Amino acid sequence: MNTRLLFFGALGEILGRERDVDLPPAGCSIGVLRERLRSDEAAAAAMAGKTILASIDQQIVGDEAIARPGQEIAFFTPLSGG
Amino acid sequence: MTMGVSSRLTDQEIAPEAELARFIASSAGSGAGAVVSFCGIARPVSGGGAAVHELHLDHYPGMTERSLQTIAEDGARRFEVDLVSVVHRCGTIRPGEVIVFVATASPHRRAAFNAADYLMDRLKTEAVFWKCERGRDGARWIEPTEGDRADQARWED
Repeated sequence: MNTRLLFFGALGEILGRERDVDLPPAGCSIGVLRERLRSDEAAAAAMAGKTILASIDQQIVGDEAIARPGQEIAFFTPLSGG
Repeated sequence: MTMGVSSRLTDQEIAPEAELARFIASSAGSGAGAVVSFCGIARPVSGGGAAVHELHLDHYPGMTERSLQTIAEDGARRFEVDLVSVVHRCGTIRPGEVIVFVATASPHRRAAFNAADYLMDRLKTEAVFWKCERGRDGARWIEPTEGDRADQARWED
């Protein structure tokens, strides 16, 4: 099922604000989603050497969290603060 | 939203005089004897001394607004100040423009000063923004400085 991923910060500048991904109905872990992103060369280059955080429905989560279709999933470099 | 605590994200220029006048007017009748305000202004040079042509503040719609409100409410609660206003800019900002406006009001000045100080230390490290400095030599994404982190740590129990 098509789910939208959002990207912010340096990651958003390189990958664009959003990108669709196909998730199974039961979802998949953030860790697996990270690896799937890295299978794309441009994404792998954008993510290399950087700390990349993830959020589900605007809450920062770890790699073990499960992302499901319909949820808002985002990846971003660490916040700068205001 | 807690009464008297407001936060706002805007992509328009912030007019601090208007914000302060509005805040003081809203504090009338609250018993406030002290109003403290702070403006953060975009500097024309980066930490390293290079000229900055513009600052770009990327934000996450929803998450960013919530981070501002949470920080504002935490400040009000911790210092028992009656009124707090946080106004934060996003998008492209030129040197000299106001990035953030903070105001606090309380019966006496100590709480108002401390709350404003605390709010800025938290905003500088936890507000959900990604800051990019654009200058002659290109663009650089910023992370909080050691100084910012040390400032925030001051408030930990």
